[in-house]
Amino acid sequence: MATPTRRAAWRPGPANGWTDDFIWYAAAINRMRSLSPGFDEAMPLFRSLRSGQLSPQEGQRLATIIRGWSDPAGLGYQSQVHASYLGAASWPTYQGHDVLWHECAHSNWFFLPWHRAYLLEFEAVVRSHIKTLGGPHDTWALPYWNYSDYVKNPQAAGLPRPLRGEFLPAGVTVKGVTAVNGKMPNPLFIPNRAMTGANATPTTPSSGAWMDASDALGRHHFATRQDSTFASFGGGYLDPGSDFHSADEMGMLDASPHGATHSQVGGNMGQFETAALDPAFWLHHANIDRLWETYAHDLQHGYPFPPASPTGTERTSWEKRQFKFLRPDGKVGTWTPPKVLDITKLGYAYDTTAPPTLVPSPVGPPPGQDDNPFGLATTQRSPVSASEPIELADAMDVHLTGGDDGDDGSAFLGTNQRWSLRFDGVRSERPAPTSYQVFLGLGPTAAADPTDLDHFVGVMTLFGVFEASRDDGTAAGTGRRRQFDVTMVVRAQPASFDPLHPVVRLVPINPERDLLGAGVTVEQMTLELV
Amino acid sequence: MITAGGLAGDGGWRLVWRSWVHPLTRPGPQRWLVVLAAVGWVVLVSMSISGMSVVGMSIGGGMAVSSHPMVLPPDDVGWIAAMGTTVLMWTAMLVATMLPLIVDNVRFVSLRSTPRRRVRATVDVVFGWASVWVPIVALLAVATWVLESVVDHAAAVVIAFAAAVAWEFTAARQRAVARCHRSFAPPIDRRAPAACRRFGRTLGANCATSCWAVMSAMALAGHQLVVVLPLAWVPWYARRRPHHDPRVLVTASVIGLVGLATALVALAP
Repeated sequence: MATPTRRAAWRPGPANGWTDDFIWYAAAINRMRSLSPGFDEAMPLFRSLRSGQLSPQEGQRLATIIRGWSDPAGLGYQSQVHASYLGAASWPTYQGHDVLWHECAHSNWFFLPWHRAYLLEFEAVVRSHIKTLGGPHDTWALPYWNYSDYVKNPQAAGLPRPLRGEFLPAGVTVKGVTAVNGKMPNPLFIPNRAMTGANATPTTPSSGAWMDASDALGRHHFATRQDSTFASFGGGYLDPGSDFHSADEMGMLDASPHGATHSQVGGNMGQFETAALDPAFWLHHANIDRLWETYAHDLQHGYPFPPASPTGTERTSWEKRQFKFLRPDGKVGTWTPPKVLDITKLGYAYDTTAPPTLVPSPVGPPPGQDDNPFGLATTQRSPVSASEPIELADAMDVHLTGGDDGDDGSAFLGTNQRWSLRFDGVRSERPAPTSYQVFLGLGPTAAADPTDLDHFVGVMTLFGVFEASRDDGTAAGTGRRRQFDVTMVVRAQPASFDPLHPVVRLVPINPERDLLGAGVTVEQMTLELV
Repeated sequence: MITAGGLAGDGGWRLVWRSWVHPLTRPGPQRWLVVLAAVGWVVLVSMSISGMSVVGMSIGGGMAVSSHPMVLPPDDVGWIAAMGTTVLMWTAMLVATMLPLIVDNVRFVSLRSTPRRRVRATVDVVFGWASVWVPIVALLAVATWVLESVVDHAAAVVIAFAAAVAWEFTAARQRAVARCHRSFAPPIDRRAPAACRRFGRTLGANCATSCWAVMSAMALAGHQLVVVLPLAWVPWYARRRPHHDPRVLVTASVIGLVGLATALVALAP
């Protein structure tokens, strides 16, 4: 039997994009939506909730609907596995078990293994529906949205076509879908995406955009240790027993393209609690999972931890962490990170894991003294200059200052130094509708061009910021941190860069969206030296 | 049993060691807090063993039964000595049980400070934290003293533990526990000391809001080690739970059971 192979959503095939894997995906999603009572009714309620306009009565109704999503075979249940608005005390049970919701791992080094396990569980549910429908359940696999291949295939930056229309195109038949008012609804369509209509196809995909994976794939380390060392590919180390949701050291893949894509699609995709309701979520995460394969195998960074690496708390933390999922048969499936590393043993493959065309990116030089295999060294940094708190909306220049009067900034510049730009206390009042391009050292009249690698730092995602800004007992209320390795940008400006008075420019990727309404603030930006 | 929150993995004492004790051993300018907390535990243990912490609880010895030296007649314990013992007990309890809870917050602030300010930053944050806790501790000491003056010791124990159990279920306490995870990157100029102290005060306010009731219960139980240990576990556990699933039934049950046992001992003839 052929290994189920995840294939690119944007690939040669029917002009409308409805390849067989999409047709059966839609058929299964149609069944999964029908197993989620009140699914359609919940969509406008979620929208009201995001905009802060949900009435108490609507809130009660939404809570009732969510509590009804107790069947793991339904899309509603699967979405709540990622995150839920409901506190655990009011979760439903299924076949005598408490449901297992709100488990997603972000901003720590379990982001990738947890989401891989989540995809496997979801894919198994989809296959079971395809089997019930008499479809190719043993060979079907999730398609992946190959937006990161946009250099070779600019179309790929667009939302896959089968997700776009509210109704199925002529000639496409999806088993189980019945006509409503003479039209066949498209199960893969979901209302309120920002990436819809004309916006579903970006006009000028370019480096520095939300779908670019170059910076993430160029990282030297898989992990980093919280509050020290540098940004990594996979995220911050987490102590054994520590809660996922208190972690705050985002890996670069988690940030962009992962988080940036969530914000770009918008609507339900823009928040943890509703993202997985959108069928685009699963295609997006299949691509993120594929990029992990690219990093580990094709780019030869490997997986944590090789057998010869020493044991210790870090390795224990990685190897012993359990991810549990309640399945439709009422049993609990358990995964650990080592169990999800070899996809050949997991029974799926990708049509390709070849790296996308990597645009030159501002990744730092090969690591020096912190060349621990996974970036767990404890090199400490020194802040050199910092900003005042800012409110973020349209493009703006932020001036950082440091040192005392008469201090010479050039004294900080050396050939072996590494630099980091950190954002602390990033908060928002509403889910932020965009990501921001970050530039360092641009003059007041200079244009912000993400192909200008002497100044372009990277993409700052705001996905997850709103969730961490709540001060209602569901979060600490201090927002999120973000960081960038800016070593190469600093080195590219030897004559003009003043570390004591640098300028950071922030440019929204989607200036046309309601940026002021999101109420994004940053407590402090800091330029740090190692 | 299904364990949510990705918290399973290692089990038993190894998990306790790796997740609770090991993080306290991290290098950094915050280490003096751990040393101070250890001293606090030594004092608590010494007082518990020597019986200093349970003046008046020598059951059946004809003494007034109280966890507060100051409740006792001056003939039994001199006022100055009594006050000294009270202050020592509360200080030891605060330092031993509460200080370790802020080690990560303090470490973060210090590592985000300029190298020459790192140790000073830890002092500033702890100073701010203590500036909130100390008056609150004084208030709690007076309140528990008054309570024991108007009702007998057993009744006071029941009231304090009942209040601690009830407090576990409040939204204010849950919000304060969530806020205990706050981090802070201080300014790098001359405003840093004031900003660190301000952050410390915020931390202290949240810490006190989440733990005042448990602290009062510990005090009314005479700072006995067998009571302090399980009650000190409560805020540790609460801080490690996911915010959406605080398991307050677990923490409230522990407090309730300890309270029941303490009340039974107090009522014993």
